[in-house]
Amino acid sequence: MKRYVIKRFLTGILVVLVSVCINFVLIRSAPGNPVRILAGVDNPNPAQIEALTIKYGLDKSLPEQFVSFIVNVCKGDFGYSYANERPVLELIAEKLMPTLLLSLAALLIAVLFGTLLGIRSARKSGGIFDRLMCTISYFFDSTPSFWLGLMMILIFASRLGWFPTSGMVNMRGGYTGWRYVADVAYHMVLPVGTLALVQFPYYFRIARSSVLQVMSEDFITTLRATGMKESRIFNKYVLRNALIPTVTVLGSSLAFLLAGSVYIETVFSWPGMGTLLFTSISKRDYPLLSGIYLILAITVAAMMIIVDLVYSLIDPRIKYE
Amino acid sequence: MKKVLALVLAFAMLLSLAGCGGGDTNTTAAAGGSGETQAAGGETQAAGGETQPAGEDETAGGSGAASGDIVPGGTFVIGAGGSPSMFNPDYRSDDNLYPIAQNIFNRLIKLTNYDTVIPDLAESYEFSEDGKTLTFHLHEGVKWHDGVDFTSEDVKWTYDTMMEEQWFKATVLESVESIECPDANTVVFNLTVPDVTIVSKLGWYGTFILPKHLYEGQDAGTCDAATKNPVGTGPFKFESYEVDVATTLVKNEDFWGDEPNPDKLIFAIYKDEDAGYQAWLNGEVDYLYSVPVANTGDQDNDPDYRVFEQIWQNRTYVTFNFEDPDFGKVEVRKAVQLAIDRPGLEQRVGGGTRFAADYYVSPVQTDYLDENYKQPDRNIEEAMRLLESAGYTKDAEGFYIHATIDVFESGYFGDMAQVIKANLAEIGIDLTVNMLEYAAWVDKVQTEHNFSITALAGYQGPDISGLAGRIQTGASSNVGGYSNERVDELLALSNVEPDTEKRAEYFSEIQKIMDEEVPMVLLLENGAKYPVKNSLVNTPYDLPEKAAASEFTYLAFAAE
Repeated sequence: MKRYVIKRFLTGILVVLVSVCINFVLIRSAPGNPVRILAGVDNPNPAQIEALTIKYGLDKSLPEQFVSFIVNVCKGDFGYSYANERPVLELIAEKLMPTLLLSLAALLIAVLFGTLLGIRSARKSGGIFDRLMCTISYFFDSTPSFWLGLMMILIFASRLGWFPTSGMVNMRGGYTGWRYVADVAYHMVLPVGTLALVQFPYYFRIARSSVLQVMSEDFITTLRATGMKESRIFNKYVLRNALIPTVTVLGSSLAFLLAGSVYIETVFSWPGMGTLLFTSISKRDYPLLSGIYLILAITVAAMMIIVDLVYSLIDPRIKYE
Repeated sequence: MKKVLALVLAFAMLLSLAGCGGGDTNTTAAAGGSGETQAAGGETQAAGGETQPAGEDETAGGSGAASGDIVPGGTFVIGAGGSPSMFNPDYRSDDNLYPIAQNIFNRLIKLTNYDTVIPDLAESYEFSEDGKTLTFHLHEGVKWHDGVDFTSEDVKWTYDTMMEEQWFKATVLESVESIECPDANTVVFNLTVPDVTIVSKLGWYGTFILPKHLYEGQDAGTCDAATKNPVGTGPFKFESYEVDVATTLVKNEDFWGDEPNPDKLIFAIYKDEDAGYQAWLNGEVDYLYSVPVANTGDQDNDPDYRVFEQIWQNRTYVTFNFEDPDFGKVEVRKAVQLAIDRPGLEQRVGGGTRFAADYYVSPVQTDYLDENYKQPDRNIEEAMRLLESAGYTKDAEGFYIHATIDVFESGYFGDMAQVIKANLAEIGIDLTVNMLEYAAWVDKVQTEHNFSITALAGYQGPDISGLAGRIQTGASSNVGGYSNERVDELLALSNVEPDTEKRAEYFSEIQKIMDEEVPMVLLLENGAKYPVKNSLVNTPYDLPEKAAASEFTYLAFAAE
């Protein structure tokens, strides 16, 4: 077990390093010079451009910039955001929590409801409930998240007035304590709901197909032949086996969830990493982009390791050599 | 190893977002935009804001009057389209900071939403008889937000540093030889030539006075005052800023001018203009700079709103690479001019706020527009004749020329490029539309000069001299590299000519040359409709004699 954990940890580090290398090169290969963008079309003074190029270290070769980046990261210095004139780590620290709050809340809801509904659909396979749920899941699976977000705003905020259209807190309110928590929760309803709705079909289908597959296995038929109660067979044998694929995709889907939250954060003006990432791409804010990708890589790699370890709790057949 | 590969691919997919980077390069405050060269659709800045619990809505109701009884104080949520990149408003072009800066800082004089210049820190100014000395008399008793006295030395330091470090609007001061401070309340600009354009330019963009005591000896781009704690002399003090959320300002109780009415201003950030618009309709935002193009006119007949319509010296045009073997020829440029259906373009992308451009000078410049030089109406046959006279023959595909139009992703530019493509196809020019992200456009068009045709739009300032930025040799927005010695000479002469009639003669000749050489094809005159809720009074539109374009000193909720 210990050996396996160390192995997974080292693999995680490798994943993060490879991702950082690829991202570092790709974002700098995209057309667009951050200094030119900062200088603007108005009076792009060559002297100022040259000064900024030197100031941000963009006059150095790519390998030199990369080494400098890695050395500084190891020292805990993620660099300075060109576009925000603030340390990268400070910006990320400010924005990571809102994104995790949004993504994890949506993930929790999507996994919980998707899995439960998938299991129920599978048990009543071919029935009205199953058909209805399949139709709903296909609908949300094919719905673009930004469109769904706008529709949610239009219906539940603009027409019905039940929820705020956007933001994370009531700026006029200035709430503190529990009122602040309640205010954030109130603002979370629509963005989390949207993100959960576009994610839930994924878990619904995995749970449904897994349960159907396990239920058709020979060992289930054998258990039935022993006269074991159907509910006991389902709860003890079917469910446990059927949940393994859900846990498998959980970790990897976090990366897609974080990426997908960019649209939701933009539509709902949610002040998270997605919005920051979106802006930094358009401004070619290299240090901030590298920092965001590094943090995302670390987050997802950590999730993958945790998921791998959770396997053993669900499926005792899995032994860590 | 497969998992490693899968994860690496997952991160690579995150990177694919780079292709979606739209960003906020196009935001524009009121008054036709702050930036001289804004992206298309810059007039449609989104708003941002907050919701309030039921029963606490300060914006509800209202008399619908633009003046009259007001509710004293209050917190106002102002829509903003993006995050300011810093808080030094003079250092670099930043349309997201411009409206905020108008409430924290002051200029010597300021520009209103109607392109008029009114006093700000300077009570008055006068030119010497030879026009080469400009003296500003400053208000007395002005203090910075940190309590330090404001003096003429602050003005001198700001403009001297702007010129020395070449901040983005340093060109405004190109006629300034030196600045003197005979006393604490007087600033004298010694000019190399009698520059008649300098006053209006000082009232515009990138010319706010900064506190010398906080900036001197510091990096003007990264010091504390430029990034975290801006200190001005304006009606509101900086309170806080959260990236991508809001900038909050509070009333300056010791303001030297008229007492500000709002207790607090929150510039809330909405990067998606539709979401911002919904927030405004929902009452979460009080004041919105403009509505999305698709919603323009929605409030025209709504009794709960009053709608301000405005048009500025703000124009959309296509320009050419003058080194291009095809578009460097005047016959080809004239053919393009004859081919583009400007009224059709107005219909397709005008949205009720943009109108077909007929002349080489903006129609708002009534003193300078020479109606003798009008862009010709559409004429396909004449356009094709011009191409053939230039030696072009149709190829097997039926085209004289194959070329690309490079435009950046913003507002109506995509639709506009498609209309131009269809128009030019009719005269035998096969145009490929190359939509670029703004950053890529800057690289390709402005830096590498690797293009044939491109499109631009933008506010050119309150004075006719703003035209220079587009056609003067080497000017920043003259991306095509147009150059004409006589035009440069006339522009220089017009800058030092105080007599309007004489200036008009210079500009008449410039229009004649533009008509002959077609350095650009003017497409649209850009304006905007600004709906304001009747629950709000004393907006910058209501008080052009007092307030700068985005200054909210007098903003108030109407009394019931």
